[in-house]
Amino acid sequence: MTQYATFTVGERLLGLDIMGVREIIRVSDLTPVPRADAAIRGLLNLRGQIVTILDLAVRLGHPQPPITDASHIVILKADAHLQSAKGDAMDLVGLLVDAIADVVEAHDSEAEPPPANLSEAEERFVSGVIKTEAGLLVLLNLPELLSTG
Amino acid sequence: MSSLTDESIISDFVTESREHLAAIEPDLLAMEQDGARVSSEVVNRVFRAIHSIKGGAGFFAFDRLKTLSHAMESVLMQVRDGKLKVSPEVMDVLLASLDRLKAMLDDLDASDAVPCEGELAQLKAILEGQGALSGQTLQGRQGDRTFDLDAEEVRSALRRGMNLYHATAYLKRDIKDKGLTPLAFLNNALSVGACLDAFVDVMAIADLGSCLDQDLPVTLLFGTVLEADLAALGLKLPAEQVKILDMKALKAQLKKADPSPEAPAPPPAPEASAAPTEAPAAGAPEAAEGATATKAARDAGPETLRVRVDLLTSLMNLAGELVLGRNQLIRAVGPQQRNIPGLTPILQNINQVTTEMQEGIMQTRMQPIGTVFSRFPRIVRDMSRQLGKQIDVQVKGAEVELDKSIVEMLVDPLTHIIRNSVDHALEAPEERKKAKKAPAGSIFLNAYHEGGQVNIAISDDGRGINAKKVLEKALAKGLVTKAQAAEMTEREIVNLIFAPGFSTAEQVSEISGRGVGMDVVRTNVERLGGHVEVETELGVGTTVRLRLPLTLAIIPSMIVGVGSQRFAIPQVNVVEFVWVKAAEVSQRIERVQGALVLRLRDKLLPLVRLSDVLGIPRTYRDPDTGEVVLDRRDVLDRRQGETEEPGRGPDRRQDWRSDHNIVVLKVGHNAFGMIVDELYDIEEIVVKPLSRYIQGLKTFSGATIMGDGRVIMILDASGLATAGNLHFLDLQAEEKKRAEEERRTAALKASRRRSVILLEGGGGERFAVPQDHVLRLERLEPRAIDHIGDREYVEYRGEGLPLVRLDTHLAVRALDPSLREYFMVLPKVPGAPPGARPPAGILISSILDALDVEVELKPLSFDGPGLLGSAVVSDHLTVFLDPVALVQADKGGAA
Repeated sequence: MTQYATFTVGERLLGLDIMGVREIIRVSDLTPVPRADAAIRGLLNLRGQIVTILDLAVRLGHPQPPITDASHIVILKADAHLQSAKGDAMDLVGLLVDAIADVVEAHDSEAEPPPANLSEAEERFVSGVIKTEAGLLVLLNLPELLSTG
Repeated sequence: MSSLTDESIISDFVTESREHLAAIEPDLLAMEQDGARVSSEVVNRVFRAIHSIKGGAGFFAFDRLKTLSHAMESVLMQVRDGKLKVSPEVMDVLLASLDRLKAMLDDLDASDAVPCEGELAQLKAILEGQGALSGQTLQGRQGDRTFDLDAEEVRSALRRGMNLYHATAYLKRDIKDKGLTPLAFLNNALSVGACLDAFVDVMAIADLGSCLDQDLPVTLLFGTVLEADLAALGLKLPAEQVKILDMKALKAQLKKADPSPEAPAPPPAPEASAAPTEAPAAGAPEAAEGATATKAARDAGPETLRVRVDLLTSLMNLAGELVLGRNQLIRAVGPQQRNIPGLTPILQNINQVTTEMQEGIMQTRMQPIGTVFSRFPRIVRDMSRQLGKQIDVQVKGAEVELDKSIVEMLVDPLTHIIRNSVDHALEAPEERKKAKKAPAGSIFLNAYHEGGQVNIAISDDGRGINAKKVLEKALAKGLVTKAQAAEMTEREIVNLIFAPGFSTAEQVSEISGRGVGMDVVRTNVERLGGHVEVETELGVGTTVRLRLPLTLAIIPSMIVGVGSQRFAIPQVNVVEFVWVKAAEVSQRIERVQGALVLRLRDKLLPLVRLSDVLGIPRTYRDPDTGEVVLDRRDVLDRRQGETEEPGRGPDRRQDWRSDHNIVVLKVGHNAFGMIVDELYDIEEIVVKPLSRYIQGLKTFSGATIMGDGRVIMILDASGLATAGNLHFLDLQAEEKKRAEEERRTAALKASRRRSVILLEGGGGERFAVPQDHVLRLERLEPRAIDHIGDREYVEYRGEGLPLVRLDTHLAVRALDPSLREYFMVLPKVPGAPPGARPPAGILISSILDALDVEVELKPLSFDGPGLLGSAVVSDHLTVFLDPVALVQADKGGAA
């Protein structure tokens, strides 16, 4: 069984393996980064560490959503491959989502390949889908999502 | 023997051996440099180091390491004994062997796979060339084996009442046959005394293979309080194998050596015949230990401890957080300070301790620049050998400390600069002789503190950089335009070598060219928050100077605001702040070739608006209401290409209703102004690296967390200059143009101001002649005028002086013939010797005045010789005349 942290962006229910999630926080002061890629929503101070916030909606090719009370940031665990080149500071990344949903349990075998009706931008970042009671859960391809290429 | 080996012992051996090798590399270079004059201490140090490596290698059965170090030792021994002269060839082999040793130590288990046949053969060849390394020599050497000791060590042993013994143990007879292992033997020995030095004839092992089966000798210099017979018993050796040393002689020797405690006191072993013996294995680690002790005694500095760098980094981050926490705390409880008794001293204490701790932790990351410098003598030496050049390297300021990360990142740029010097700048000996320089070139590395920064200068006395050639190349590559080049100083031209794209694969040479050029050097140095520039004199030499911050992690920074955002700008980049009042904006800010500039003390300073560079809507504080509102007053600076003369469109400029805050920043030699909405305090900030998602943004060099917990970005001055599309060269040209104009205006103004003599001609006409063109004025009576032909003369100092009437040359009225007296102007011919006679006199009717006037001359309606123009002086139209030109025209006309 795999547990998925799920959240919504627009109408979509998205999910990540919960083992990859460090914590989920409410949106506080974000520092915008002028002239950065549109998907970089800003920087955040998480107890002394600077977290780069990716706007998941923009990353998936949607327009920039407003930040509401329901908005949350999913902070991802710093993986080895996320270390900065200097190796002395972890490059922490958080995903801005519209709202948090339940934790969903599913067998790996339930995952199906991504449907054909995804947009090109989405297709790149989706690793598969799982049918749940709440609807179709779209699983994110984290390495691709975090790549800078 | 593997039973003796233990991982930790081996790793100690590796660490020590590496230290030995690192320590003796400069010694080897010194040996080469000083040749025969090298001090025996240096040679001995090298010898000892190699010797203890050899011992250890033999002990742990690393055959190759042992064989090679043994061969090196043999060569070094010849050098020490003065039998072999140190030539560059010998040094090549020794240094190459040293590298092999290093390679072996890097991976001891694979050390036998490191190829070193070449080095061995060369070492052998050197020895054979000397006719050395025969069996005889070996025997002899064993006989008068000398222990290497630190005097202090011996002294300490003597103080403890020890007797020193020369003990010989035979490996088979005394150890194996008694059912002992070498380690057990050694442990036993240490239980009864101290082993000061040991000598294992590892060469014998090398030749004979497995040592335990051979009856090889180990000689020990052994200190114990026991008497001779008891010592032998304690060591479990036959009494004849343990000889007491002449303690009196030893003490005498120590006394002699006293003024210099470092002098080795080599107690001689007893005569050769008593020496042959055994116990190879146990001696080696002792030898190594002895060497460590010696070393420790030599640099008796403060105690040190090895600490993992990541631990320090994490401590530094925590200290940074603590600083922020302190700031937040003080901010939060500050208002309560009065209400809670005792709070103030607590806060002050926390404040103080935090600051000191942060500084202390920063200190732990400081490293002397010498760790980088030390590698260059070797690099230069190898390169210069290869190129057939002679180059000395001098190092100064190796103790200057910089943050570890800066030191590490300096390796590549410095190596590049030095390779350039060796390869391109310094000439071959013949060429140097022709240029009347010493045949050996020199490279001088100098590090020093200056103004809170560290300067590193790399100087050579080579051929210098040819600015003309640099310029040609820069023009050919389109890095500068001809117009820009014309305005550049030589220094600026030479510094074009740092421009991106200047050096290319064309220059690839085996040594310095790898297609990367000085622009990479500059990029690297600037990434460190530093600056690089080059000074050169053709034929004399070149100096590349790097200026670097002491530390990267915490920097004082100016906080500025644009819109609702704040940014930090490192204080090292900030020159000053300029506050331009709203009323002065139109006078002080203008546009040159489409770009905004600020007039600052006769200089033109290019301006960038931070809001525009970053694409942030800007705000201003409404002067009437004090409210912060969005600034919609667009926008002088967006209308690119439109020319705007100063003085035109002031109404638009008056739209800039608020004052302007300008931070003047410097990037290298260039300065520019950055217009911001708000200026805040200077704060110490902890620099955090940029996330990889935004590393590409050149306008930022990092991020930091402020006292209030917000993240703000750190601005990068050179990135801002690039993003603001500033053209410093254009502006310099403009500046020069203006200076030139100003000079001309001043000159013109000066030319308007003149001292003149006012004269009256015929019919009340007024004339003015410049005073400095007049020699003197004379009065004469009309009857004194003589006529010869149609010319008039007057007697002047005994000779006839021709007279000139104005009306004969100019369309003016004739003098009134009825006047009782005339005057004449005697012109002063420029360049005539004092006392020379004037060529002629000009007749006028009277002298009116002598005065200074400031007039602008207007051209006259008629033409004539000597006419300068006309102007109104004292309400009368006055004709300005040059008397010299007039009389000269008259002479010409008469001829």
